Amino acid sequence: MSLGPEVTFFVDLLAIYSIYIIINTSLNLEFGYAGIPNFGKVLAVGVGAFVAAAIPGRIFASMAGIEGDYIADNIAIMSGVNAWLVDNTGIGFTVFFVTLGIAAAISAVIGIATAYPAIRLRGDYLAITLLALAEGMRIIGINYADIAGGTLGVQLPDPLVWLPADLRFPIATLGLVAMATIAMIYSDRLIRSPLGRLLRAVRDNEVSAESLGKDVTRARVKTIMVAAAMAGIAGAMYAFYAGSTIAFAYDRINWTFWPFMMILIGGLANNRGVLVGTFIFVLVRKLITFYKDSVQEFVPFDVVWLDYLLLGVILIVILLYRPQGILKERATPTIHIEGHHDTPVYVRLKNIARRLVYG
Amino acid sequence: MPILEMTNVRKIFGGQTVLDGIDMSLDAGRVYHLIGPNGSGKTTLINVISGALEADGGRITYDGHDITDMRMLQTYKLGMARTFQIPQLFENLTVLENTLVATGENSGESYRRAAFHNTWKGDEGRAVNIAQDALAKSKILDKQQIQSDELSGGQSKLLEVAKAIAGDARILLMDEPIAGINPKLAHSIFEMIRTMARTSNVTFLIIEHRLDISLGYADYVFAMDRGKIVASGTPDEIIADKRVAESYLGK
Repeated sequence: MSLGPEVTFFVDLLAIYSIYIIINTSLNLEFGYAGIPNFGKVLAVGVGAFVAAAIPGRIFASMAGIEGDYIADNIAIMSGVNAWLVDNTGIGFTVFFVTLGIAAAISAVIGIATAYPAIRLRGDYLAITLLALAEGMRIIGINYADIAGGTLGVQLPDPLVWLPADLRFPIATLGLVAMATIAMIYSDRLIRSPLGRLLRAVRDNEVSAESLGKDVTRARVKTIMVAAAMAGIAGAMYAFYAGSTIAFAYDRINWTFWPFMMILIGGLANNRGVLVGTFIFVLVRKLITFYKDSVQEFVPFDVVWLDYLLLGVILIVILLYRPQGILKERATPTIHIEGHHDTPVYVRLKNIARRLVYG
Repeated sequence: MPILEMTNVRKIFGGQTVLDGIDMSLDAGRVYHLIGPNGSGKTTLINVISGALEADGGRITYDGHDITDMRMLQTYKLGMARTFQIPQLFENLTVLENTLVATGENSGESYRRAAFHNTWKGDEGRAVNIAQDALAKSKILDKQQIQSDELSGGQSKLLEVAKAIAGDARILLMDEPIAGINPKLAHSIFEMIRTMARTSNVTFLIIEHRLDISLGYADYVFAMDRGKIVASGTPDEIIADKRVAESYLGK
């Protein structure tokens, strides 16, 4: 059997949507809720992808007893590894999940390192510093070939190689959707807790938070750390999904500016806004890519600029007419309080059920 | 033994001496007033005590601790809370959420536990009770669901008071707590303050200009002018004091 273009379109859309949901959720945690302008978002994503590029392939190669220079003979080694993985799916998955863990851990550590200036800098200065650090990561990736093959990139082992070719991407996409769902639920739970309230308070008024005994620095550092770990997992999963990694791909436009745009469109400090904003962005972008050629005759410029133009216009319209984004920030009730309008639906249902059971 | 003691506290802003050798001694469970004309250094003194500003000289001790060089975070942990002349609210949070942030340590504020509702819901339930109690005492409980940037000036002041009393502070430094609040509410705020001082042994150091309302609730008054304490005593003594009248009441 073979998948039609509509199915491929849909699968691809869902995959990239899921990846961006993880990254945007982490960015929303940092920027929307905690007020940290992380213009170095790509840093953690790239580090995650580099970990996936550098570590599991080498592990599999040594387990399978395949000799050779990992970078120079990369294509030959990877086809050997993938052939070996067909019969070793258990090990394949184990190493895959271990890699995600390592990606999260290394991204988190690098997150703490970048948080060092975050303690001392505010606003624009912090944003510029993080932007520069992230650029540094990409330049290291390009020039230090041992990590991700430098300018040529590397192939990644494929833990799903045993699947029929047509099912590989749909199944991998299901994995991405599952991870995005976990990220969303985790973030939503954080936000609906005293911690979420603390982050919003620190963002709104640092002086007041400190006067109430809140350790503002600590809250910031931990937020950067957790968000970096999430983005690192997203980066690693994206690298596995794509099947190859190249340092050039981890640029500030795709993994910093677009995520900012998506959460600005959807609405800062609102997880549902992340879902909506990311969907609009990914859909518009995908449609443009898909139908670019049929649009060419109607526009007086090269269609490659169409997505920049269109998305730019959407952002400006949103900022002009609805600066808080499509969905605005809401109160995040932590526990049920009588008469609270913002009590989430599931808590209300639970309370109704409780009343029915206990009278 | 006094709970808060200052000796020769100085603060200089770019050559201008704003606090010029302040000596003060406060006993626990009493309501102190700090009065004086605009620019006499009252707010600066509160900033220096709480740790929002660093002192340039002198020594401040609180409950046996030298707090001269401590920041706000540390003085708060020792049991000192403060309010701001211009209310410092978390504008995107509701009135209740604002007060909940002020209820002190909450186990749900750690990343390790936040995602697990069961580990903190007990703490949170207690915090809600404390916060609502503070809001009730500050006469603003009926606004608990409202986002705090929708409050009027007076209501913002009431919320600022609620935030200060929601913590477990032993001493409260308040910067014009009743400015912009109608006289009836202002009296009830000061009655609440006096009750807290009498029954819970909380000490208050309050900057206030509306002496017609507040002076009746003060146990003791410090009058400042140009960075110095120019007079101190009971409210009656202060009203009769000629220096205070000259500098403050403008006679």
